[in-house]
Amino acid sequence: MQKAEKQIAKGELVFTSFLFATSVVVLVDTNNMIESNAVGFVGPKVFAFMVGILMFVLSSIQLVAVFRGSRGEPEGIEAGTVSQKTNWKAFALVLGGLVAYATLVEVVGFLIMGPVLYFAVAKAIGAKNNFLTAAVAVIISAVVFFGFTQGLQLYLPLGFDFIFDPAGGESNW
Amino acid sequence: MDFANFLAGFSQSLTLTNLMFGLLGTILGTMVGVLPGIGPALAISLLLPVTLTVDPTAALIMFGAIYYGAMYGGSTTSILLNAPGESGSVMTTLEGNKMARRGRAGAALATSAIGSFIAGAIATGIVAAASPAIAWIGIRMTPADFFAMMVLAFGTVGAVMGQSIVRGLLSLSLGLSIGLIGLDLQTGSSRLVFDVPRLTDGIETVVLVVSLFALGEVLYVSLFGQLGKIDKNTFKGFAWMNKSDWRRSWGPWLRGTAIGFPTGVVPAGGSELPTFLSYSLEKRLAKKKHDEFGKGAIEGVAGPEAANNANAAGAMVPLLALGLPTSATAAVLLTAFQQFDVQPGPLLFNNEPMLVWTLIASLFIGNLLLLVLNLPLVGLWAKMLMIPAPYLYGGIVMFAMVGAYVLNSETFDIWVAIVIGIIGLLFRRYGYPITPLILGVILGPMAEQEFRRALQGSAGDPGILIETPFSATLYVLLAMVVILPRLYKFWKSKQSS
Repeated sequence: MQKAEKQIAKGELVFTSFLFATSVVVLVDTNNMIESNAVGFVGPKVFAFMVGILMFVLSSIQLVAVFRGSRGEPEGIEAGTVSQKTNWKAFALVLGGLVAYATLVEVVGFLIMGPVLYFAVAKAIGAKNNFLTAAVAVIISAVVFFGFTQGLQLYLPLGFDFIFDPAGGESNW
Repeated sequence: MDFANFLAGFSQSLTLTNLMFGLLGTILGTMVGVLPGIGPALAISLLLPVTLTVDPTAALIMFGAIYYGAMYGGSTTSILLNAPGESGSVMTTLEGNKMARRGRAGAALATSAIGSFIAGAIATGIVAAASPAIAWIGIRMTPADFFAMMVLAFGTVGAVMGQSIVRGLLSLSLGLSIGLIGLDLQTGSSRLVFDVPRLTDGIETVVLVVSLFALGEVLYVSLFGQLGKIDKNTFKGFAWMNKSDWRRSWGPWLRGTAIGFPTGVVPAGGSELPTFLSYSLEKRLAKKKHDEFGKGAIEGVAGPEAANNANAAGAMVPLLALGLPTSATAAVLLTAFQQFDVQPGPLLFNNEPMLVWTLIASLFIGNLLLLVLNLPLVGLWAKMLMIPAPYLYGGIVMFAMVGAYVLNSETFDIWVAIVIGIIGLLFRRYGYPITPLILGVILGPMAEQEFRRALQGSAGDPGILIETPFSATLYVLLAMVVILPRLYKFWKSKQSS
């Protein structure tokens, strides 16, 4: 192979390095672990070391492969195609929706953050009609909320605890 | 087969609650099979929160029905659209879509539904007959044997799936590392906790599965996806086929079952391999007779469709009898069992005979329900394809977030889900398979337990791991699975040069 033809996939290099770093973390953490005296013949370290070494060896091999120009084929998408261009706007919208949801769901409740999340994801994937999307978002969130809290008796945050319950206890929903 | 228990299971499964959950499962399963972007593993993991409140038997019946139903629904999408709704239906697409274009959608849908039914019925029959026998062997297996089985599962799934063996095994080892997080059960030492108190219980499997499949997929589609219009073939009315179709279908059905079942029992990485094998076999056999392959041959639909259903049923054998999942969906099913503190494995048939036999009987009933639902209603299912993708993905993400939260009512789990979702995105982008990771997380802790039990018994001598003929055989098998395909490739390339 000619040197000029070799092109290292940068993104893949970063990802492979992340896997490599993870294996180092596993090995260091295992090494620093304090074992109690009652471990018997095999303590909690042995298996963790095996896993760490396996991952260390494999990611080293893969790192070398990436440096030599190997690259992974992106996985296919059902009912669509994988494009070479990255759509950062759509991605930021989905990720932003998720982060906003995680931050605020216990503050303002599922009935507000549920629709926000749904709307953000649907817009990112390509929903055109804002009004329809918003309406569907609210209806589905309401169905999910009451289905889970009333039907399955599982807790989803109603939010606004700071108004309804100054003591900070959980509401009974 | 344990006939008395089997009959008792049948009468149990005919209670109103169990029938309703079975019906619900078949409907949901067909739906997720039809809808692109959701597979059975994701559907079951999105529904795992119901394990918090619903009765174990009913919930497991529903999950089993979803598993079977997804295989039915997947074929509808592949035949009517040129897009498989499910990875096990890729082969069906090849001939099925061409049949639909020639106006033979009805026959294609009928042969896949009836073939799925026949394969499901035969395979579930073998599950009922073989599982107790395998459980009997399982009781006699030593910890070293179990450890060897799991290593075999790790090795084959890692080696078979994905674009290269290193990628597959790296995915597995990341899963094993995630499985280490938390307190060690035997000694209470903490591993990979980094002084974060919430991590001492480890990462919830439900959170992990939901975020890898749902969030990973949606993030991937948003960043790289181009959801275009796909050409649809419409179909209305009752799917049925003529005499010549019947004559040409029954052979592929039986051969597909014969290929699909064993590849489900052994860890061969799901339904891609058996459907591919069945397709190639039918193609080769058809050359001697009327060869329609490439123009819409019914054999090319009948074979793979029978194979993927038999495969799904085959995966139930190691799951129920040994507690060993061989596919991503089976791994999620195992999680569902564990949510109920029911441990599948050799002792399951003794400890929970009612539950397991009711589940097996329900699989028979679910299979029949699917046939009844699919032949007349297939046009209705096809209508579900009208739901635009954005609305679908919005719902998937919302369900995933709810699922991650309701287990512990902690926003911490939502953050974990987001991080793992990003890992899922990167796995898809760089061609790493997800199934080995999930198997690693779920089976890793079990493998470690057997490993330590074995070495405890031998006072630390690792020789015990290969002492029994059973475990030694498994390691030899593993070596063959890994080495033989490479030797073959090497030999081929030498020949051609």
